[in-house]
Amino acid sequence: MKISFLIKLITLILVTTFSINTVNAKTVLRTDEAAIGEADPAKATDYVDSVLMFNIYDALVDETAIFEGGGITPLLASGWEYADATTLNITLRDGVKFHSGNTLSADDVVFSYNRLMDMGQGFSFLFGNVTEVKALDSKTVQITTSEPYAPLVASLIRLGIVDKDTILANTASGNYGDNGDYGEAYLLTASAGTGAYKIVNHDPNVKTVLAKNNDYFQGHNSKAPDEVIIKYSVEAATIKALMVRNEHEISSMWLPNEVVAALEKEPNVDIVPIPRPGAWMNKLNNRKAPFDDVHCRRAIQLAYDYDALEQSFAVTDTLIAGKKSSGPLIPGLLGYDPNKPAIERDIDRAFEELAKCKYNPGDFTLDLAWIAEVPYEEPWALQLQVNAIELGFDATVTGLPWAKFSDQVASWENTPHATVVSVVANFPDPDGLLYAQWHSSRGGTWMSAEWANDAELDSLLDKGRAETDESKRVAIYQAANQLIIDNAITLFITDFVGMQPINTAVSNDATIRTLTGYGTMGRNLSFRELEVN
Amino acid sequence: MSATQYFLRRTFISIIVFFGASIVIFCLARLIPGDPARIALGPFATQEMVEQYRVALHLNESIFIQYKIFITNLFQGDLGISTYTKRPVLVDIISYFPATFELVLMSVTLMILIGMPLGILSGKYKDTFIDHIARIFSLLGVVTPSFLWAIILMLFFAFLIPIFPVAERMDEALDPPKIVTGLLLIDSLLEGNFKVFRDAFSHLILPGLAIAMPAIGNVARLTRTNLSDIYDKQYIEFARSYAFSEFKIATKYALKPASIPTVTIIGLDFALMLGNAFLVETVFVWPGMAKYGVEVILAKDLNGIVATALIITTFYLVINMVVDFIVLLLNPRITLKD
Repeated sequence: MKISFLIKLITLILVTTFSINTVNAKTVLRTDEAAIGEADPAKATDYVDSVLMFNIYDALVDETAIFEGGGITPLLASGWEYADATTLNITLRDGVKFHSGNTLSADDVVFSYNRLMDMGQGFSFLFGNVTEVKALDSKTVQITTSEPYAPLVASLIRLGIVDKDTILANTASGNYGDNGDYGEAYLLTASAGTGAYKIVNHDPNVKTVLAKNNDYFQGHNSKAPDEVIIKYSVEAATIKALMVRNEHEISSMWLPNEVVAALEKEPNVDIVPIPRPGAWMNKLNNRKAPFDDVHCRRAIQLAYDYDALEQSFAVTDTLIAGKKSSGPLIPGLLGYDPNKPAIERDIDRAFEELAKCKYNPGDFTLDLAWIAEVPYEEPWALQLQVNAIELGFDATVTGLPWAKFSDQVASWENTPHATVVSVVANFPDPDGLLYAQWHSSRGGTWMSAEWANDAELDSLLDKGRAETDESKRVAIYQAANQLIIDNAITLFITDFVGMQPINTAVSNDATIRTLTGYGTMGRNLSFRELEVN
Repeated sequence: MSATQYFLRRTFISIIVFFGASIVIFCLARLIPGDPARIALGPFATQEMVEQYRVALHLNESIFIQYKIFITNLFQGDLGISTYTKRPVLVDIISYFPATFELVLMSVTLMILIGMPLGILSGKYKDTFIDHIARIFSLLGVVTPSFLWAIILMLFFAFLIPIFPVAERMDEALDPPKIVTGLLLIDSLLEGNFKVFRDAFSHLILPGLAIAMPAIGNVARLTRTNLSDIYDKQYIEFARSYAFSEFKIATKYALKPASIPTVTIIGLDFALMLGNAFLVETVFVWPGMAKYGVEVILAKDLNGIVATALIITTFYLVINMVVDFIVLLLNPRITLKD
């Protein structure tokens, strides 16, 4: 009797379980990212943090889409002008509302800046030149820098503006004096921005659920998703299963090649190549023999097999997740020239340059490194080893843990002869990439493992920082771009191209234009511009 | 020794073990290479930012001072801030532990419901076709790791027979029940929300089975062996001579003594699953503590590592104690002194 009842109960549960049919009237876009999501704009550092920031918080400025000519455009600002070389006055847009309904004012901008700098995390490092931010009136903010700093306007894209009143009404006790915890705990589960979406639910290790902010001042695409779900650290096999079952719309760009190749065969999935704002580089130590001699650097630059490198990014016969580089300026950055030819291998010229080098290659064993946590970098270090041996050098290849590399790079003597790293643009200005990597004053960080020491390049980069005329800056950065190539300061492996599997219900013109249209990390996944059919 | 004295003694020993484990885990976590502050702030952070964050995390203090701060905060219910999720570790644990606990409960249930009957059948029909089939099944369960079962089940039920959900704890379109215990099955029943109950139950089946499979094999093999030994005993022959039914002999006289080692194994597996579920949680997008535990190790989140490890330690200690009491109930010949 008891057993038959138990069997009936189990049968009932199973039958009713499998007959669930949920009805979902709202449009939902599901996507995923590899890392955890940081929803506080003062702590954002990574790609997915940036995606959250750009969708929940607005900055004073925005990036103009590449298909509209690129550059910087006002967002929460209505305009700006330099009072003098170090003083920038910004006028705010009228009538912008936060998610709370509060109206944006200059106090919010000042508070957001102070919060970012006091907390000392996220993109606060971009504002090291700023000495003061103050409200001149409710609609005008004045920013003063210690020296003329032309990239200031572009870097403001990384200052997400928070609702001062909401934050202060929700502070807990913390480390920031009268500001308590600066609303850190509050922003773990809530949003206080003006952006196109607001947080419904946020678990940094699991998922974030965003709902459309119907009062958004810029509006939404009429088919923009009502709800967005961003999942974190989902296994590639699971993403594949979900995409095949139409339970996931946009995958991250970090799937293994075999999964991307398998998804390409699915009728409901398109693979969209996304030019990403970054590049793979092999950073030559410019102060360590033999690469302190420009001719040796040029020789290795001309010997590096760029065709083989590009082919190493092949996902299928037609999909290649990399593009030959034409130098440090990448799409979306001021001065990028899409018609500039890519750097190519020329082994005859390589030997000509080697003959001019003061060193005998046979006397050197090159220490070629890649970052151990990123195993797919290894082939590019091995390729350099092959080409170095071709020139007569001996070479060893080492996988360096990131922590060890960070320690070693602090002195040029310990920095490897060449190290594979990737670099992305945090904001749409060439200064952010070029100065941090190649100005001689910046040696000793992972970005500047070249220990570049080129007076002409320093001069160009200093001019680029101080010059506010855009056309002159274009000329300066294009000259710097060419100089970096001519003096073989860095080896450029490829520019990033991400392979993004997208459900056919979403892979329409509007979505693809948005995903491929921006050069700042995370700016492209702008949900309000996408279309879900 | 009375049961109360025995319980107090075990509790006292467990507290000492807990503190010993906390010291070992606290020190080991700091041996993982890499600067937690640098990892937390990302590659673009300046050295000044990193230094400021190290001060906030007390990382520049000696390890003794750091441990003192940790223990003092622990007694105040504060496990510190996770440098990985940037929120209090206690919030993380409260969020993720119930998900793993519910999953492991499901696995243990499946382990008992499938493993023991399989072992009984195998032992009862030793060296017959049924026994061979059951042994092959058990062997496959034992030799195939959980994460492989997860992938196999995922492929099977995602593509060939797509009747089970393959990700998360419940359908995204449903509203979750009000959190009381954090266990969706219980919370949905408390709310009378059977739709969520059914949905949550269906989400538990595949990951629960994937974790349970190796343990099912273990339990079945152990039950079979013990049951075979018991069936060879004279008192079973004696029971048969009295014409007791085979069902009565099996359930009343054979299974009880045969299940003592099995119960011990079930208890250990229960605790083991809590930590070992991470790959299955990863495959099925399960927002659990096992996955969190591995991620905090990779991110060198010191507070997260210590808290997760201590939760699992505590679980082990409690489960061991519970198992000892169950064994006592099953076999009165074992005394508390033993």
